[in-house]
Amino acid sequence: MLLLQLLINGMIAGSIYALVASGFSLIHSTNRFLHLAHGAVITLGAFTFHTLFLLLDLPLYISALATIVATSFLGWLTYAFIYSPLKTRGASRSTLLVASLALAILLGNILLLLFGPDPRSINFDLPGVNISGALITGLQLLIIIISLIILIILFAFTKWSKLGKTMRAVADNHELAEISGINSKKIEITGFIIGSAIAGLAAVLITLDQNIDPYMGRELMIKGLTGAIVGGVTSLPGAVFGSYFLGLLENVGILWLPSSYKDAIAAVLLISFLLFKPTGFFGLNKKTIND
Amino acid sequence: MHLVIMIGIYVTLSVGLNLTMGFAGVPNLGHVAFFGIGAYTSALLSLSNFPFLFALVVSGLTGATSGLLLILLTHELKGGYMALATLSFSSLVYVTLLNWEGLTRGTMGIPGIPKPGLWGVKLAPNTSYALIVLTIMMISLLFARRLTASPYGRLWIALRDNEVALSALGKNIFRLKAQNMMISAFFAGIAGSLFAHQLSYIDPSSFYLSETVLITSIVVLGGLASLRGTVIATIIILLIPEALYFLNIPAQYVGPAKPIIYASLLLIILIFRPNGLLGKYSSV
Amino acid sequence: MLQVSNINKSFHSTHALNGCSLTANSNKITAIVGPNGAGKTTLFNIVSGYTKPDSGSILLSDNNLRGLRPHDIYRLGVARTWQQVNLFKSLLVWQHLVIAENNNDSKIINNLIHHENTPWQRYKKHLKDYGLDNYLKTQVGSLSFGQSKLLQLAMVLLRNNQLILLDEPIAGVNHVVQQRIEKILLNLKKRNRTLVLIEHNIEFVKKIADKVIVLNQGKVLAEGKPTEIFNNQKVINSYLGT
Repeated sequence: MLLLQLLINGMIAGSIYALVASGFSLIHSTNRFLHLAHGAVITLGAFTFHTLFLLLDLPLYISALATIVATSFLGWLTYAFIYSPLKTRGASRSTLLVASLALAILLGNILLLLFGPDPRSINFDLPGVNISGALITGLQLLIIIISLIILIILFAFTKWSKLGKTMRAVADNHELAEISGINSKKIEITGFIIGSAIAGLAAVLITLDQNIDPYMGRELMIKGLTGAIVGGVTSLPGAVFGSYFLGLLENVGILWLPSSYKDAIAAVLLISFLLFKPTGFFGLNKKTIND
Repeated sequence: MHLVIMIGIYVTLSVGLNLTMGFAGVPNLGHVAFFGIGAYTSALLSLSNFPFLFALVVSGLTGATSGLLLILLTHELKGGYMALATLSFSSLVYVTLLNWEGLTRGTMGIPGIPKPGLWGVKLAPNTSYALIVLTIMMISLLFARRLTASPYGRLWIALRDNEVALSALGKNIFRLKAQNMMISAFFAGIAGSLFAHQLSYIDPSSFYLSETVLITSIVVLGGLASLRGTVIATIIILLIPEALYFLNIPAQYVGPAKPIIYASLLLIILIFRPNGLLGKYSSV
Repeated sequence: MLQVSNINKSFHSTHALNGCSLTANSNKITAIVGPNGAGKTTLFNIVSGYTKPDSGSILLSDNNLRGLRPHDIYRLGVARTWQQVNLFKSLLVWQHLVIAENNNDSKIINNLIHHENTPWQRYKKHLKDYGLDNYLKTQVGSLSFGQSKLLQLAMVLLRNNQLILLDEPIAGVNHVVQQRIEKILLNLKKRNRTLVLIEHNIEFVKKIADKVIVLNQGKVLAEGKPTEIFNNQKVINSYLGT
């Protein structure tokens, strides 16, 4: 049945967006700015994985692990050499956003330079399942399952672990946390690394399932950003919810809109929420994005 | 000559951006949308046989109208939100240009845009167009200079420094912001028109993120609120691709190399010299 | 003359103003005092248009101020200063006076055509009482705190504003500056203006105020001459929090 297929497609897309958005949201809540280069980091991870797994023929798990390490390292690099110096100089949130945009362009074009514009893919086959006429490949099923597992782990981590709770404290009230003796710089770095690690995982899953090209980061960033804003960028579960909402809306929306407008849905949703309900569905009513 | 024309166009475009980002302190990442709207307006009008001057002015006006729309939507936002909202605006415009194929032919772009000549004067087509572009650039610069050096211009700076205090002194804040954005967008609109007629072919990809980074680099390099700085920075930044050609870098590398250089330059300036060349205010 | 009637204002669950009514007459200095959180600054914000009251009315002579935006209220002749310094750090002292004078600087065409004609002598003369006459071309960032407060005052008194709201005009300034401000304010009484100020400094209030209004928990607790008020047991208790 068509609707069921669209719903499943929506879940798959939503899972990927949720992984993107959750890493992004984690970085935002611990660092208090929008790291728009997150999508580019994922793209870099995608090409890394592709190179390791397909071109160098390394085993799956090793390639995946190496990719996650690579993106975490890249995340740390951007923090150490760009964002941290800017923050030290008192950069405003909008400046950091502009810097992240520049970074995104930089990374994207470096990939373009190295790999050329053509899409690549890995044809990874896992037997699929047929649910009353709706098809889902084994890989796609795996994506949904892994995403949900990671998101649950992330949620549990932020809610119950000591480090996670510290991160939330810093996210809620960074000045108070500093005064209370929490090393917010350490939290910033940790948030960046974990967020970028999740980006690496997203990269692996995306690369296995879809075509990759140097421009994909841009789109993923918009989707992830939209998911995060719609759900409430100060709330991690919110970002996840918003992402699934977007995924489902995009795919089920095909019933009414021509499919070329699929991408416009994210842009329209993003700008509508920014202008009319910037805190999203679940965000706290604090102007945490305002300077 | 092509370079001279591009410099004229980008000075006009970047001065416009400096009016919002530099003088009024608005983190406007949507400027490139006005550039694109102006370019497409002019292209479509010219191809429907409207005279160049008419197309030029209307492009400026459509730019200004879009600017009004943007400020209506975003005037209460601050800082990071404003940056994000304006960025989303340029995304929205980009997506529209890409998808509204009936009007814009989407990714295929619009080719064959005619280049106007000077009426009655016999010069090589590029030279006469260069004169047109430089004249318009000079008029824009003079206008910007006059306005920003006047008491009115100081209102923009005051707006940047302390909006609340300014409203307590009887100034209509929304009107100031609207005028600021509309004038800035008008500049971008006419720059777009000049751009379309120079390249004779436009497509949406020229009006999005790489371009945003480019013009932001120019304004930041030149220095916020420094018109002279913007002019100098435009020349420097537009000379960079020339240097690439000079170094004989293969064509397929030049494409991505340009944004890499602009992005790196922007980051370096932000980190090491946030006032840019001649700016009085830090970009950071 | 300013007439505030029955103003109510709540922020979320806090009742900032609770049926607050008061009058301030022209040619008089009215001081509003009261413990912190009594609603004094909220009242100023409402009168100058920064906050909308939930209910009540604000009348300035015959004009209804309620619902007007800050710049419209300014045009009616209402000017205010702030507790913190609220100046334009990139601009010079004389440029602040130009803005405060509100003479066509918002008109674009005007500015494009006419050349700027700064009335240096007049500004210098105006700033003399504030001790700032030699500071016309100084960047306000280099002014001391006291000088900044004096400049704020100079700005609101440049025009013939009929209602002047001063929020803690002498808070944080040294004795010399305080005396200057005192002298300037006392001089104002002869000029047909309504002057309302918020102050915590009781000695200062006793010296210059004609009428004192005590605000507590969002409404008027007592009003009258300074000597009566500051000997009033209820007032003393409100400051001590009983």
